[in-house]
Amino acid sequence: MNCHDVAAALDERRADTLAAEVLRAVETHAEGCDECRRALEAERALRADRVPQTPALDLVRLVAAHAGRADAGGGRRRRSTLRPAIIGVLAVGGAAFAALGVFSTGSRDGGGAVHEAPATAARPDAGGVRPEAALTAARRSLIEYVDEAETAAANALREELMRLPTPPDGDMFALLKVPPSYPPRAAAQALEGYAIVEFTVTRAGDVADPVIVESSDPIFEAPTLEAIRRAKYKPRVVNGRAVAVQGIRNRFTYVVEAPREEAGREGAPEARQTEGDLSFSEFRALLGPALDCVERSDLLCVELSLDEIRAIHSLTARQESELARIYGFVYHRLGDYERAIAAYERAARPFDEPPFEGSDNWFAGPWMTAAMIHYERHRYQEALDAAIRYLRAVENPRPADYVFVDRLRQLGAIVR
Amino acid sequence: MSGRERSRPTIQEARRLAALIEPHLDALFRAAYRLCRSVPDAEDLVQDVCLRVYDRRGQLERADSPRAWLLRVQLNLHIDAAWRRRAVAEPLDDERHGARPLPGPDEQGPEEHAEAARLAEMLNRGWRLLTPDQQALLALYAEGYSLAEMIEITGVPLGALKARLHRARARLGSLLDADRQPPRIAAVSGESR
Repeated sequence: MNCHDVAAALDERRADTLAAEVLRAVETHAEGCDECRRALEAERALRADRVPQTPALDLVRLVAAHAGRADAGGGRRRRSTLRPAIIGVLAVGGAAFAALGVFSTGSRDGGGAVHEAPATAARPDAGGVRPEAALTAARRSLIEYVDEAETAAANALREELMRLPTPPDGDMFALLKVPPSYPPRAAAQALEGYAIVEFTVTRAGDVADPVIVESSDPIFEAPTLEAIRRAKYKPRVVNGRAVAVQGIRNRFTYVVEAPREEAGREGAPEARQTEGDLSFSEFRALLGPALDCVERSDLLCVELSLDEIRAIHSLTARQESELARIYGFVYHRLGDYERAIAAYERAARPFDEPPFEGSDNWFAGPWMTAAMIHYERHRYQEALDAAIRYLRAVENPRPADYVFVDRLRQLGAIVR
Repeated sequence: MSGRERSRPTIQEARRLAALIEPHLDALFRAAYRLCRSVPDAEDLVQDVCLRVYDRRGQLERADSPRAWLLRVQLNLHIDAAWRRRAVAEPLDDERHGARPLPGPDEQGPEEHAEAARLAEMLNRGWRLLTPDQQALLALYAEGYSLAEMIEITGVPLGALKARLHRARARLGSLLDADRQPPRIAAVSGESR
């Protein structure tokens, strides 16, 4: 058997389906041929690689989202009854989701106390009086209400994690790497090269004191420093405390690549539309009826109100995000975890590439909630993926957020 | 009425197109995951395909193999996006060491888990250093598509496809090989200072 035969055997049939004698011949040849050994090794690595289950995607909504406008009608699923929110019992953080269960109906056994609604959404009819001022304030605050309820749940989980008798330690890893800009002069001359930069990862996960230790040409040093300064890390955690790590090195490689052939190519996706027809205050006012539904614990009514807003109005990306987060909140309360996670991801994703102007912790929050729902469902890999997206987006992560990530890694999830 | 208004899909059209895509969603997501190596990115890629489908619904409806057509759109979107990034940041071994997961707890079968996790991380690192075209071919290969199917999806002639596929496998193998070597700059391990 020669290299050509090995390639043909691997092309036609994956190694696990090759006849035993053919596989033996392939392996015998590979022992004396580096290239074929590597090809066989790659084939085996790919074969061993697992693909997660396909998530439930709302295709109608995705297709309808063309031109930036999603018609919610096609994706609706109506339920005839309102189920109480299912509060999972967590190995860690059992109380966390109790905080989210503010609209659960009926009593609950275990799982922690039912929290009162956040202060900003205090029931305006308390004491039999319904002052207009309180009602107006409440109607402006449905989004804040959701934010506060979810933040309370996240904080409960954080507290549980920090109370672990032996908090997991975890090493640092990169959350965000920003590609350097190619120096125009180097690009014009098709000059390729590299630069090695050494830096410290601070307790906050930022890059400090970057210095170039080696480069093929000084021209590559400035963009390398600029890029590494914008990187973000999950810091090393020891005994529940983040510590700085010095002396990390990164190599930035600059390669001029050939332009793509144009024939038969699909073009770049269109930029997402962001203009809307509602002002900030108009949008908030439209959410008033939905808040009324929330106060009645009528979550289907909330969903219908939100659907109506989406069907009638063209929304900005931020408004879409805020609406998606409320959808996520409602679906979570209804126990529809898949749709809840999809909604939270929809809420966070448009603002997922920092630095996004106006990006703040609010937009990172949905990733944390999605991570907690996965965690509750014992889907640690998905939880870690979402937690990393959270850390990438959040401005001021807490030490417990790092412990959460390390806990998920300890439970078997990997950084990918 | 603007062009954008005219091109906005009705809910009936969206449902019809969604019904065309639905049977192939699993294949699309699996290939997308192989390409992106992350669930959220794979979902984004599938979503981009869905957005693209509306503009080219006529082509999809006329395609002999809708799955091959959808996969081709997806691969092209991935390749376009990847080639737009002209410079790459490659972590050194010290940081790679830092990215390695901690061993799992006893109940997880720590040795097996650690080995699987190690291989997955190696594959992730090697994958990022492949060219987008190599990623595209290997994603299809890993998904078990035959050469004939890969020709239909990629449009690459048989001879060229075989050569590129072999080179891509060998390149990935060499990257995995290199990953097993000791750190190139051993003195700067993140834990040494």
